[in-house]
Amino acid sequence: MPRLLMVLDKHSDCQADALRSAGADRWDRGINPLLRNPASGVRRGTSLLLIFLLGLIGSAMFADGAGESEEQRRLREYRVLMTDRQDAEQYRDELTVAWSHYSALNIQEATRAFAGVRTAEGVGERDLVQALYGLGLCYRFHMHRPNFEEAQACFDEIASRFPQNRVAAWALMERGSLEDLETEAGRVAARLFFGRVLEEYPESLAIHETALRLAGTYLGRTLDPELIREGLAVLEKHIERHPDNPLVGTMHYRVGYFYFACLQDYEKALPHSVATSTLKMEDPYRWPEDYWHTAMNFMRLNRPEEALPWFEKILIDKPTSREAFPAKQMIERINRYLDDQRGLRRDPADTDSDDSGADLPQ
Amino acid sequence: MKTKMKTKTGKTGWRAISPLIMFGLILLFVSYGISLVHVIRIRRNMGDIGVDDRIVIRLAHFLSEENVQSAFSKLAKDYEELHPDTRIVVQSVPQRAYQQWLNTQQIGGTTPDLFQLQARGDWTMASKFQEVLTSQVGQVNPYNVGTDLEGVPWRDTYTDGMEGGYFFSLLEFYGIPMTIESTRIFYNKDLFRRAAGSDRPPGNFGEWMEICAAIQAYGEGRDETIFPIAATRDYALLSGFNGFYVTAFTGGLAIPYDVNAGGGPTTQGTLWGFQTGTLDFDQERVRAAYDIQLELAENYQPGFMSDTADQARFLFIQGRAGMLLGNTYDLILFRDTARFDVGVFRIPLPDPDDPKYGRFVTGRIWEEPVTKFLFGLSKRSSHKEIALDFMKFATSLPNNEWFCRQLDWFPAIRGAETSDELQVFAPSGEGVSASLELVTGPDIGLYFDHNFLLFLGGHLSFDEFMDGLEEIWRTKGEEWLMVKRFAITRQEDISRERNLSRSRVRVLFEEAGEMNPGQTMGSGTAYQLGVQIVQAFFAHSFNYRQFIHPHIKDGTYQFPPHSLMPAELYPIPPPDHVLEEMLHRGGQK
Repeated sequence: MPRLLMVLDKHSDCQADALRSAGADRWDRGINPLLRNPASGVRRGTSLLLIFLLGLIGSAMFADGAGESEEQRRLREYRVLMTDRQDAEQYRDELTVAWSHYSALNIQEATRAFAGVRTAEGVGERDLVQALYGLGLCYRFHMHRPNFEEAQACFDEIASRFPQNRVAAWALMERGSLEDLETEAGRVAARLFFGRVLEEYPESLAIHETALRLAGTYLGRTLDPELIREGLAVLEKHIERHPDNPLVGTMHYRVGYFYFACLQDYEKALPHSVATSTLKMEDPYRWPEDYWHTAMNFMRLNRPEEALPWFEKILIDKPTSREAFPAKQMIERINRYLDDQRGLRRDPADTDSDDSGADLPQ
Repeated sequence: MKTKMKTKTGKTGWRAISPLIMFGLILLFVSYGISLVHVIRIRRNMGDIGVDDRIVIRLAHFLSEENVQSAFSKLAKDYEELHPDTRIVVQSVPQRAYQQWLNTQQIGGTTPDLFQLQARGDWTMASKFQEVLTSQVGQVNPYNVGTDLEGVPWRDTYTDGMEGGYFFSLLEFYGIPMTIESTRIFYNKDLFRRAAGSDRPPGNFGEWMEICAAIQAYGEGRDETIFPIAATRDYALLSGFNGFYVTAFTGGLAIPYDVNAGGGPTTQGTLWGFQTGTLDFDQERVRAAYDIQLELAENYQPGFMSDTADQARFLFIQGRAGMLLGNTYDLILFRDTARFDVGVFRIPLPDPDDPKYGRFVTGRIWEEPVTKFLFGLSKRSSHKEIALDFMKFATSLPNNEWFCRQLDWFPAIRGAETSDELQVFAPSGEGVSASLELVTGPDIGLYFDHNFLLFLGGHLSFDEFMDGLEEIWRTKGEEWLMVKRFAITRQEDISRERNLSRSRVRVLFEEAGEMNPGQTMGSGTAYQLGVQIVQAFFAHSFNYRQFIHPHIKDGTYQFPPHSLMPAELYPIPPPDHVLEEMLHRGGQK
C-alpha cells in the first residue's frame, strides 16, 4: 500500500477511502488521475484548461505550494488536517509529517503541523518540547516572514518549563543564536545563553556546538586582538577538556586559521593546522586545501623538511586537485633546496630555478 | 409563445446568421478543433496524456543537436526494454528559451522529472525545486553489475567522486553529471594541409602563429577572405584566451599575498596588495600575458567583438576561418555539418626557449576535472525512484561509455573507455593556480570587459589599460569585496543555518529522520559536516577578512604576511622590496 495511504488509514478508513476514490493511490504510483480518465478530446482539452486555471489559482493562493494542481492541494490540506487532529496518543506520526515538511522546506505546512501538536489536548512533555522546538525553527527560518520574537518565545518556553529535558540545552543554544550578533549588545546577550549551556548542561552533546558559537561571538566580530584571543581561549579550553568531541576537527580548524591568518602567530597555529589535516574535514573535497595550508604553515616557519609530507599527501589523496601541481613544484624545490643546504648538489648549474613548465606535456 | 428571430431577408433561426458571421464561426471552431488535436498530440508525445498505462518519466535538456536527442532516445528505449512498465520521454528545449521555460514549468508544477541544470551549484533554485540526492548517491549503482564498478557506491563511480553534483553551500548532492567539459581549439584539417602543408596541430605558441600566418597568406594568394581564427567577445575574455594566458604566466604569483594560505588565487590579496602598495599590475609577467593576446588578436576576424558564438561557428563551418575556440559539445556539431576534417588541440603555450614569452610560462593551467552536464531531480516528481533509476542506468559504466562515444564526449564514469582522438578533451588536472586575479565583482568586470576589447583593438595601450584597471580596483574593489559580496554571502548564511538545523534535529528527534551513513560526505554525520560548513568555512572566511581589512588600513596588520620561507622556494619569488618587508617584520615578531 502506498505510504501516504498507510498513514491515513491509521486514522480514518472512510477518509482514506474517499481519498482513494479521488485517485490518491494513482498519485502515489506516479499517475495523474485527472489526466488518465478516459475522455473525449474535448473533455481532455477542457480538463487541461481547468487544471491550468486551478494551477494559476493555487499558485496565487499558496506561496509555498506554488503551481500544484487542485488534487495535490487537496491531498496536502488533508494531511495537515490529519496532523491537527487531537487525541491522547503520542503524536509521533504528526511530528514525523511536520519534520518532513520542515526538511522539504515547506515551512508554512510545518508550522501548522507543529502548532497542531502544541495545542493538542493532553500532549505529553516529549511531544510538546519537540513541537515547540520545531515551531521555533519554523519561525526563525520562514522563507519570507521570519518571526524572531515568536521563535525566541518557543525556545524560552522549553528552557523555562522543561529545564530537565535533554532538549533544553539545545533550546538555549538556539536562543543565543537568535540574538543579533552584529551588535555588541546582541553578542553580550548571546554569550549569556551560551554560557548557561556550558555551565548548566555540561553532559549535553549541545556543549560542543555551543562552544563554537560562543567563540564565534568574539572571532571576527571584534577588531580587538585581545578579544580574539579570548574567543580562541574558549575553544582551546574546550579542546583540552573534550579532545575527542565530535566537533573537535572544526574547533582545531577555527583556532588554527585564526592564529595563522589574523594573529599571524604561526607557532601557535601549527598544532591546530596539523590536527585539522590529520583528523580530516568531513568534506573530502576540502582536504587538499587543508594539507596545503598545513604545509605552508611549516614553510612560513622555515621548516621545509616538515612541510614535505603534507605536500606529498596532496598528491596521494587528490592528485587532480588544484593544489596538486603546485605541491609537486614545491616538493621539487624543497628537495633541491635541502640538497643545497646539505651540500649534496655539486653542479651549480643545477641550482638554477627551472619553473618554466618545460616538463609539462603540451 | 415563442418568437423566432427574423431578419430583413425574412430568414429565421440559424439561417438568420449572415454568411460572413457563419464563416467566421466555422473558422473559429475548426481552428479550435485543430489546436485541440495538436495540443493533445503534443501532450501525448510528452507523456502528459497516457497512450497506455505505463509510468511516464520526462527528461528535459537544452542541447538541440539531433545526435544528443537520438542518444538519449536510444538510452530511453534500452531502459524501456528492461522496464516495460515505464516510458521515458526526452524533450529538447532550445538553450535560449530553456531557463524561462524551466521557470514556468517549475512555478506551474509541471517540471519534468529530470531536467538539465544551467549552472552548477545554483543553491536558490536547487533548494526550492530539486530533490536532495545525497542519500541516493551513496548507494550502489545496480546497473554496474558485471563491470569493474560492481558494488561501488554511485558517487565513487565518477572520475571526480561526483563533485560536480555536490552543491557546497547546501551541503548536499543535487546534480547527476554525465560528462566532462573542456575548452579546446577546433581546426580545419584540410585548410591546415593546404595552407601549412600539414594537418598536424601546433606544438607551441610559436608554431601556432606560423600556421596562422600561413593561413593568412594562403587566403591572400587565392584572393579569398580566410581568417586564421574565428573569435568572439566571450572567447577573448576571461573564459577564453585571457584567463588562460594570465593564469599560465602568473601562476603562483599570488602565494606571498595569500594571508590564509588557501592555495588558490586571492582577490582579497590583490585588493590588499594595492592598498599597501606592495602589488601592482605593471609588471613584466602581466605585460607579457597581454602582449601575447595582442599578437593572437591579429588573427581574429575584423569586428569579432560584436560577433556571437553562432556567427563564429558559421565562419568556421563555411571554411572561412581556420580555427575556433569551443567546448566539448561543439565537436559533434562540426563533424556533422562541416565539409572538412575537424581536428582539436589544446591552447598552445610558448616553449621555455621562446625568446619573447618562454621565461614567463609557469606551466599549463589547471583545469578543474569536475563532471558536468548535470541533471536535477524535480521535487514534484511523482515517481522519483524510477527517474533516479533511469539516471543510474544512464550513468552506468557501459551506458555512459556508449553515450559519450555516440556524442564524442568525454565520459564521466571511471574506467569508461574513450577513443584516442578524444584524449585531447581530458582535463589537465595538473597545472598552475594561485595566479593573479585581475577581475572581481561587477564594477571591475564592466571596466575590464569594455577596455580589454579597446586594448585588443589597439585603441588603448597596456599602460593606459592597467592604470585604469588599478584605479577601478582602488575605488570599487573595497566596496565590492568588503561590503557587497559580504552582504550577499550573509544572505546565504541563513540558508546554511537552515540546512544545519535540518541535520541537527535528526540528532535530537527520532521523528525528524535518520542520520544514515549515506547522508554524510566523510565518515561523520551530516550534522558534523553542517557545523563545519557553517562554522569553519563560511563564518571563518568572513571573520578573518573583517578583522584583517581595517588593521591593514591602520598599519597594524602586516601585509604581505611575514614569512621565513626562503625566496628560492616561491614559484615566482616576490619582488625584493616585498620579500625584505616580509622577512624584516617577521624577524621583529
